[in-house]
Amino acid sequence: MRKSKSLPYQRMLNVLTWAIVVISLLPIVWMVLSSLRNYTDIASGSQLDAGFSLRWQNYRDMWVNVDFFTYFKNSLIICGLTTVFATMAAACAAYALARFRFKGSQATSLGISITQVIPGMLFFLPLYMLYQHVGDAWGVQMIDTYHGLIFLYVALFTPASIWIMRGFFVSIPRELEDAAIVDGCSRFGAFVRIILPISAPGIIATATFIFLLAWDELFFAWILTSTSEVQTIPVGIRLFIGQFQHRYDLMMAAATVSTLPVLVAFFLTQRYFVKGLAAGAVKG
Amino acid sequence: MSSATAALRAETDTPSRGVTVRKKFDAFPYLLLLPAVLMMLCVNLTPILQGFYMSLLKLNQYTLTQYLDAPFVGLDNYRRVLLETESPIRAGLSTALRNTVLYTLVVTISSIVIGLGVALLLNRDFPGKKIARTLLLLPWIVPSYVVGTLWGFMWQKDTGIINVVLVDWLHLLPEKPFWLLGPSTFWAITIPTVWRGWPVLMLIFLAALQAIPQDQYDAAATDGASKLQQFFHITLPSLMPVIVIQFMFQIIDNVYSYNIVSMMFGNGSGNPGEWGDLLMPLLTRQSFNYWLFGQGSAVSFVMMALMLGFVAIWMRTFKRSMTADA
Amino acid sequence: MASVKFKGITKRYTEHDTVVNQVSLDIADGEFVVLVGPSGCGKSTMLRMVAGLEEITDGELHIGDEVANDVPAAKRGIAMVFQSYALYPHMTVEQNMGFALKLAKTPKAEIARRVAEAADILKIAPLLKRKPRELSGGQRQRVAIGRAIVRKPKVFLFDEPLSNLDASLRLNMRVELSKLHHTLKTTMIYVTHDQVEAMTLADRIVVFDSGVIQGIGTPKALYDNPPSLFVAGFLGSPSMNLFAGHLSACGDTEASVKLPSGVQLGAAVDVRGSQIGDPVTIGIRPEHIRIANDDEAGTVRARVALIEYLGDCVVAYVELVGSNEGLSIKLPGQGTDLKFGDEIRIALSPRDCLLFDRHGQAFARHAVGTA
Repeated sequence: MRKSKSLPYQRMLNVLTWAIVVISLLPIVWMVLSSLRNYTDIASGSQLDAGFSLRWQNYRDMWVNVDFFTYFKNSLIICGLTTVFATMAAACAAYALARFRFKGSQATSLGISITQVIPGMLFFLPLYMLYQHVGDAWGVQMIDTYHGLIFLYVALFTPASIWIMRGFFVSIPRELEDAAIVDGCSRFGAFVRIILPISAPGIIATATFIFLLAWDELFFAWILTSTSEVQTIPVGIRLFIGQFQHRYDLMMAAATVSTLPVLVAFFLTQRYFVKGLAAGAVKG
Repeated sequence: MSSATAALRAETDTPSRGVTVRKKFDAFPYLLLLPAVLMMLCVNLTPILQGFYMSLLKLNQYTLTQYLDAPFVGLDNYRRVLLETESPIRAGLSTALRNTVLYTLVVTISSIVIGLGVALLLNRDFPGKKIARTLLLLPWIVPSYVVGTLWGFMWQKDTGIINVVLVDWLHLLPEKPFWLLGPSTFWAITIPTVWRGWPVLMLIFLAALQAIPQDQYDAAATDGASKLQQFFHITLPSLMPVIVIQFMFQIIDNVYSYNIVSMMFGNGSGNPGEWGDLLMPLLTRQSFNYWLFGQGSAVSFVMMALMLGFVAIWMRTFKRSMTADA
Repeated sequence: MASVKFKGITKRYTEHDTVVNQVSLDIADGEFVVLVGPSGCGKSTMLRMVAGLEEITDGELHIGDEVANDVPAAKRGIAMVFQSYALYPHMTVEQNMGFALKLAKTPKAEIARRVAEAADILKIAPLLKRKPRELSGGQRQRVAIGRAIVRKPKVFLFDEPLSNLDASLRLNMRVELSKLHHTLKTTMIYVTHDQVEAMTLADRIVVFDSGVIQGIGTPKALYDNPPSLFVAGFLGSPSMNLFAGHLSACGDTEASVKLPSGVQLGAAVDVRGSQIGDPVTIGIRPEHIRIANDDEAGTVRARVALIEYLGDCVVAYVELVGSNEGLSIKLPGQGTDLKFGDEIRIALSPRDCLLFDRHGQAFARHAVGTA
């Protein structure tokens, strides 16, 4: 870090910094503002000059016109469960890779890295057909179901999470597990009672990360669902845009509401999140 | 000497006939790994193998139900996709490829430069630093499909705020251009992606910057190095491993970009046009529109080969700087 | 309380990596035994095998009357104090100390009683509700010991517990550990690389190197009559002066050794079975070298190269005239008047010299050395 420089220079940097912050946030601000405007105003092209009044009704309209509640519910359930299962699977796998030397650990690590280079998205066609086949041949419906989507999401987001968590586990001194074993814990007991509580910040950070990824997922939600019973918010918005092409006000309302949950999740956990993401990423 | 002593000991000590602990097979780590590995095998490996086989089949809406028993056509799909210009997939492939390459390069380089710049800017103490950092991260939190929708709204020719600002308020342009049609669509997709992408990089670079020990700067200062020299000789080399890795991740992410493009154009399902089309949107659109599953799989496979090749070359080229310690 | 017996214990990681090699050792009930040696010599591995944290590749381990090889760590009746204390950061001191008992489903009242008892012994009662991160290094160490005491183990295991403390604290804790042993009278196995800790704490010292025992004995025995070259060089500070040479005469009461520089030294040892010309190593401790008068016979000329004044003593590093062999000499702090470049005569009495054969084994000494 640079040593202290002259005050005017610092002031200038401060101004610059905050200017960047403001510019960066403008689109978001615009989104929220537009969601509260009358759609005729928007369509006519007039901007903020035309007597500004907040139209909260847009939000109500949006929820009424579109089956938004269902989409919202589906997103919460699917992303929530994905987060829970993916965090658990990733924690266990990360612990195994962090603490034990065993045959196949190298191969597994390599495999995990490769899944980042060749994401599930690339082979969506085979996946779609696989799901179709499982439904046809084995009677276990995967398409258009909660469990189909959740299974896919968990499988998609676990590998990246393993990397992050592994970094956290590696930094915990091994002697803690030794002490726990001498005290009478089984190895899994030591993992659950000692290691997990200590890594709580890292686990929270990873869980938030998974939630963000799941919430952001549009592609598979689109191709693997066809009825609104299971469809998530991104699909809902996409359908909605096709239907209500010029109701930008409702669109922005939907956009804002879609952003809220992840925003809340982020603010709740940002302490852990920022630290964890940075630390995990720097270690590669 | 000590080996001689050891030999002495070995001879004089009675070899124990007690219990020799046999090397038990330790299942514990494997059990821990099992859920994750199983899932990866199902969702990652199986589709790849399957996809390869599918790319050798004639799979369309008629043969779909035959699944893997569809007619075998060997490398025909590859031929059609790469060479035959009538194939709908082939039709858009060269433009999508061009766009994706340009898009990836522009977005990656811009994101890294901006991320690094802002990280350098934030790498000092000032009031409200934590708040600033949190606020700057917000664009990344906004879901990518919202970004596509929002910017699709902002890029509107007549009613979009961007044109209003550029033309009506700041008078930077004489008249309002089309952003969602024609060559400008490239910028229409690039700019939001950069907007959403650089904050995370900033965070990572900031952490890396703070990990550089102050001692190095102190030593350089006493050696007579200017601030600029310190940047090039200490900061940049220390950051190189991080930059190189993040560059690679960015490229991989951007190649597979889909959400923003798909939400921005034609009201959610339309064609982004010649300059806004990327590989994944093209692939999905054409595959599902024309039911050309075999050809689609062929493209997937070619993409996979390219990406693996890219990563391999990248790792080899930068292996030294990626594993170098600060 | 229990004895600990090692019978041919071996620890092998791979075919070529044998860390502990066929070690046999009997530790009596209530004994304080220190395993000492340089880094990587296998002493920590020995300790961990007793604890049950490492699998024993070969050999038998007895704790008390039973064979302990396959007994899980928690059931062996041992408690361990780690080098970095290994306190659970998310639990209070009280919870840390009571954790093992809780796992064993001991009733709460009993846990509280035992924790209070241990806290009293170690004077950490006021710290019970705090978390480890709020404690100083010394306090954490006590909590770690307290955690071990609470379990009323048959054997205490210490893995370099004082290494992370600063010098003055280390001294205090050493005294406390000695007192603890007197109070509890439990068998204690203590691992360290610091020979001062070994000398001050142990009933018996076991010197390790390269996975093998170099010498076992009481501190005094090992110091006065080290059985091997390694032990001779390891114990004592400054370390023993050692010179390689050849036997030049084999007498009944004394052997003569000729050093490469030509200097002849004598050692009062029994060299039966050896021949003239055999390579040997002769050693003498710094405190046994005497400054002689110039006209005394049988003395060697030397020049002072460095003087270290330590208050209670002076350490002089001298070089033998005519060669570059160096010696360290320990002299009393008062009354020593030497400075750099002084030429002196030093006397090395054969009764104080030790002799080691080509394998590093010590020859038996004739005279009773120092009483």
